[in-house]
Amino acid sequence: MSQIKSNKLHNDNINFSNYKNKYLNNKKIEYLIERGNVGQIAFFKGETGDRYSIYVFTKRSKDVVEVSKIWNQYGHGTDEGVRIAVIRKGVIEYNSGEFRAQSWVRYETAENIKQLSRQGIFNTNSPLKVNYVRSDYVLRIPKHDIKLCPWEGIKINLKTGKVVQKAPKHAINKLNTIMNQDKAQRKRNYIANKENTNALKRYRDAGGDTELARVWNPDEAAIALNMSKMDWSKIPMDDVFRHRNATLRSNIIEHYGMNAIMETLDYDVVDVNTIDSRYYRLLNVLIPDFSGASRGFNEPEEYRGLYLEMINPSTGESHFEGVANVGNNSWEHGLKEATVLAALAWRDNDASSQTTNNWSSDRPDSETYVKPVILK
Amino acid sequence: MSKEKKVSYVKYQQGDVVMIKLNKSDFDEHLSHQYGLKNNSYKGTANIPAVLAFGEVTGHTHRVEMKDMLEEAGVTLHMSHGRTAGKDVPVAFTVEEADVTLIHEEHDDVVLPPGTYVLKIVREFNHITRRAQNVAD
Repeated sequence: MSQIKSNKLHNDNINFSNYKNKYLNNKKIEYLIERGNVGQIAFFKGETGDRYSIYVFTKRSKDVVEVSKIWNQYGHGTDEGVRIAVIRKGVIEYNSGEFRAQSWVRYETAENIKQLSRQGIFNTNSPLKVNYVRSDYVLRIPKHDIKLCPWEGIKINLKTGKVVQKAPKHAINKLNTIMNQDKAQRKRNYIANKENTNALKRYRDAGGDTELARVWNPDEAAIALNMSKMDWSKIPMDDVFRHRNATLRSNIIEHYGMNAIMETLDYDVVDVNTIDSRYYRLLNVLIPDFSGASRGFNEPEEYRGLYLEMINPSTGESHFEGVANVGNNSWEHGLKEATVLAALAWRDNDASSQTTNNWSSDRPDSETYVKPVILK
Repeated sequence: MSKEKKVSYVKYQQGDVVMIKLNKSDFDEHLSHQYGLKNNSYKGTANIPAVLAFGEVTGHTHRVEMKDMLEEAGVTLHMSHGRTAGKDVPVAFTVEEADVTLIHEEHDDVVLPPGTYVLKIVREFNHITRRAQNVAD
């Protein structure tokens, strides 16, 4: 793919075919840097996962090579591309100067370092690696004991493999944050694994078949039969919070009943309402989660969930049903507000029923609820 | 993305089954947009009960007894693709002639006037498994 032709500037017999790269893992680019003529280019496609990117290296002057990234859109030609880095005297400065988050192409510094390093744009003796850790990228160059969060304008000497500047304060802070997050998450995972392993052992010791719950579409009849033969005295109720497998959690809920589990939990009453003489309470319940299975990375340690307490109008029995929590943005299909009416509207699918457009937002508030003319 | 249109309706509910009575044009649009359904409907016969929802836990069903009233009422179940009437839950149903009564072992009867109904099963959010799911009774 190279556009490099014979080098007329040098009065030796070295051309591209017999050139041996000395410091860069990518011979083509090193040749362009060291012996290319002004105006010459070399280019390559991105690696697997980055195949729609084309990286173009252009020799601008004796010591300067510009690096551009072009988005090769399938069926729509290419875009004009942006400059992502400049190589001056063997030092590459990653500086897109044009962050375009709206594009499919990622122009972030760390992503560019990562993708270029996958194509050999790193010092042969000092390989580097860019990983996404928890919430941001971390650049590691083991040979020089370098670990940092790449920043816009980072300069790496391709001849030595070292970062030539001191890391700015924001990059240091970011790295510290990531490392703390990583440490906390690893500890959390350790505890969760231990709790889950012990709960699985108790489930098996009680005669439960955990394999039945490990398939995508569990055989409910087989699970029901297995559950009927289990010794439930060996399974404490709070194992429901220790299992990672949702089917096993559901089995325990089914055995003990949600009402019994709810009685063991702390909650706040966030709203009460009486609709046609039916009494409702909306509860914000503290859900223990020893397994960490369902907790998202940035979620707090303490998880609360909304439950609607209602009375079956036909039997008069009280029971609890979970409803979605209040969502923070339009993409979350949660409630707009923590009220009994919004919870009932969510429960009855009123928001999606009130439009023929199935892409519309599904976040009900009190106004969304349509009271049934008959409810039995 | 199709243009959003606000729809008003009358709601009937028996336990975890919500029946939304829409006018004919909104009903057709709803089935077409949400299920891609046009002619996939099933006219009941006396041999198969018009089951609107099955009780996964108790085995109790929300159903219209066909022998008693289905034929004269003319209930048509609208099934989504690949679903079988009497075996699977319909997405909608039409009551053509006279009132029908929906019965269930644990709930009082609900009388439905003639009209076109979209059927929804109420949902709950399981905060322990972090999944939204249809309520099973």
